[in-house]
Amino acid sequence: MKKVIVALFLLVLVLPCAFAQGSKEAVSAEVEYPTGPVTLICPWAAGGSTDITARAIASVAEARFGSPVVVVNREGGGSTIGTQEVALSTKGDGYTLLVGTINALAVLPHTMGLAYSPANFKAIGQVCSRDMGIICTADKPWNTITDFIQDAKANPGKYLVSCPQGGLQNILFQRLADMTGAQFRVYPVNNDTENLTAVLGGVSDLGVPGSYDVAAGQIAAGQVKVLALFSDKRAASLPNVPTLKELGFDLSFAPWTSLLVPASTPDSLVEKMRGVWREVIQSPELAALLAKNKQKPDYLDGAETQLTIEKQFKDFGETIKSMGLAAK
Amino acid sequence: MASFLLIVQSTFTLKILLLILAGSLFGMIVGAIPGLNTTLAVAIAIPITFYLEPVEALALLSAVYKNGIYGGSISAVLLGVPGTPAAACTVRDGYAMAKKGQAKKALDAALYASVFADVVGNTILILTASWLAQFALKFGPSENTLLVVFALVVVSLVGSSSLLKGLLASIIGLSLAMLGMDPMTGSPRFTFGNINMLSGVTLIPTLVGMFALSEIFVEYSNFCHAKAEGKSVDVPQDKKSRLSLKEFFSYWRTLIRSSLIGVFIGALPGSGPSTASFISYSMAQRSSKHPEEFGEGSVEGICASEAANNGVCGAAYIPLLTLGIPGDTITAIMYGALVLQGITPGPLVFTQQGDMITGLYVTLFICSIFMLVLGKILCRTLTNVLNVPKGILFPVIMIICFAGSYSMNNTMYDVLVMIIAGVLGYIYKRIDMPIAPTLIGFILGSQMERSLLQSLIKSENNLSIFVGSPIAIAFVIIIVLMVGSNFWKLMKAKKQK
Repeated sequence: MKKVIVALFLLVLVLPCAFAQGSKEAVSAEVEYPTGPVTLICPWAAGGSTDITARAIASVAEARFGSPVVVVNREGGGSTIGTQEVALSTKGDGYTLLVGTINALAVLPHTMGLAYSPANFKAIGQVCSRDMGIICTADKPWNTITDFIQDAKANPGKYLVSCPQGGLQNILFQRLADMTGAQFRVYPVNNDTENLTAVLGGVSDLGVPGSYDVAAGQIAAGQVKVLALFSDKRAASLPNVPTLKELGFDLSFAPWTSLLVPASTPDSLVEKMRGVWREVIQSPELAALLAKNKQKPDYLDGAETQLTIEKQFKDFGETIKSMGLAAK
Repeated sequence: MASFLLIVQSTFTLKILLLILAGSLFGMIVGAIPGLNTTLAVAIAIPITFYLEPVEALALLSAVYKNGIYGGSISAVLLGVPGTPAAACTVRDGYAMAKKGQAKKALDAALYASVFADVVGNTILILTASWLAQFALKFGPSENTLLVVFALVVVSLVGSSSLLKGLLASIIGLSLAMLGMDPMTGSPRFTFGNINMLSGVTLIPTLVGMFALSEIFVEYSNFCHAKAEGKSVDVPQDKKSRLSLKEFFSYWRTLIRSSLIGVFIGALPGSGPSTASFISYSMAQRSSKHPEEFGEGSVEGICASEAANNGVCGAAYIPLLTLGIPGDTITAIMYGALVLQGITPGPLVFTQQGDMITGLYVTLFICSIFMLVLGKILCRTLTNVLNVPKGILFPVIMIICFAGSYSMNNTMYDVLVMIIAGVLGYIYKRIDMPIAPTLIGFILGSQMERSLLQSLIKSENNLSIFVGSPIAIAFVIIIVLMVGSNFWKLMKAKKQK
């Protein structure tokens, strides 16, 4: 009987050790990444600009990693469905990344009352950005944005500016109006194509597309002019167009595309990933493909990207609330 | 002339011909499979274009596009399921003909009509591109709203035997379109807090469910009834039916009208092949000498529907090339592919890239030829599908439906939508309600709401914008005349009773 009790005691002491295998999350920096197929979730439809960027990244990454890198489209909700899926994922193993864009991460959570925020993500790195500009047809009487602002101040509410309602361009243009006291009305369009159609058809007076490149053909032909840019520096192809920053407005801004993982990914793995993906993002092959897609390679490291997203989230939150567009 | 011949010569390279062949085959097959649609096929072809010259890239994408739109008619006829939304009208007559053992004739009609419209579309593209594009720009929000209203009116009034059912079906379609995000502000409507519902009801799974799944349910219940009554259910054998060219060209009026409707709609940025095919089908029924045949197996009906949806293809290039504004989702993808090649579509493309444009025109005609040849070969073999026992065929179709619905967005939500749509479609078929008006109401619903909102914003809530331009006034007059004449006919018929 005594022997049985001793045996039982030993069993009770030994058994737990069999289960205490040590947490798999304690990944050391020496671990190999990636060792298997990687998935890039693109929250936009196949064939669109973000999708092409995602596929460019995937093809360069695959060549470098030696293992498959696949783009999976998960569109819907203006890119929020795919974004939310990654945000709320508990499987942070580093093999599923989001190709994130600014609207879904910093603007739409406020206007649509979504269940996620930048806190649900850890940024791996910013890949590229586009130049936003303000366009109008060549026959309009304004040559720079200051002309337009004076005109709009004199005629409040007369002018229609086309941009997606409640979206990034709307918010920025509203800020510009608030700074100057100009008043305008928004003509809502869904995307850059509709925006250009509205401008060319004379339906709207000014347009703020996601990227002024949508009108590249008309700009070259002299049918459309760019009144100002939202970027830091002047564009090489438009040497005479000022930036809003130059004109004295604190509105330097470029819609970006970044790679992100869910917050459930352990920090040590995120560090490793940042290093690995930096090489992909800064590679000359990717730069060449991005340039073809009219995207500017614009690398920011993971930590800075995270800070940028959080700052923009906070900033836009305030503007959206003051515009009365916050979700109830 | 010499330089033109040089361009033709340089386009007839083996590489381009092979690309067109591969693209045509791929497009046709993807278009024919329910659940997969042409947009997906074109998107898949994009990475291949990274390594091609501009003309080669455009040749590949055009082949996939045109054959994809045509391919939708194959499953429409053989399985009663439109392979793409644009073939929804073809189902009515095509499938009815297949049930009567005339599948080959129906397939021939669809093929010839598609090729005919393709050629017409290419020709109009070449001759009138910039003029038509400028005209399309005159379509502001009020004109777009009226166009959609016109489409809805035409389809509801003409599409079925019962006016009440047609209108009810349209309204159901419009209501379905309201689910999801508001097209302007993005605020959620009827989403029950579920993020998947933000995009509302997804189109392709709904299409597949309402046509395919419902058909399987119907066939199964027929089978059960027949078994209960001791009858056997036999598979319609395809009597060697053919469509003679003489009969085909006897419908030349319908063919030309439908192709022109397709080209016109295709040239407008934003409208697509489905709208064109619905309008064209309804117009053809109105002016046909045998309107009662429509829906029972009318070759004219198939021609009307297929000519319109392929007419859109050629015309969709017009706004793309001349304005740099894609005419529909697929040309939007092509726009991206062109940009990747370093070409900027727009007003200067004809002067700066004139050679490429001429090369494109030549490849478009080559695509049409390939479509005709491949279509004939493929249809000959595919008609044997009808001889497969239903016990094997329908489960396979079901698997394709499920897999296809899932594959677009990799989410089970779409599969759920498909199943619910299937049940809805089954109810429709049991109470003899037409599916087409629901579909068009659904497709056009958000477009109409958006255009209406835009019109009111532009005019600052002044309704006179709807008669504010010659085009708008013309639309209003046509709509009033159509509704008026229908009511008059109704009154007359009532008096006679």
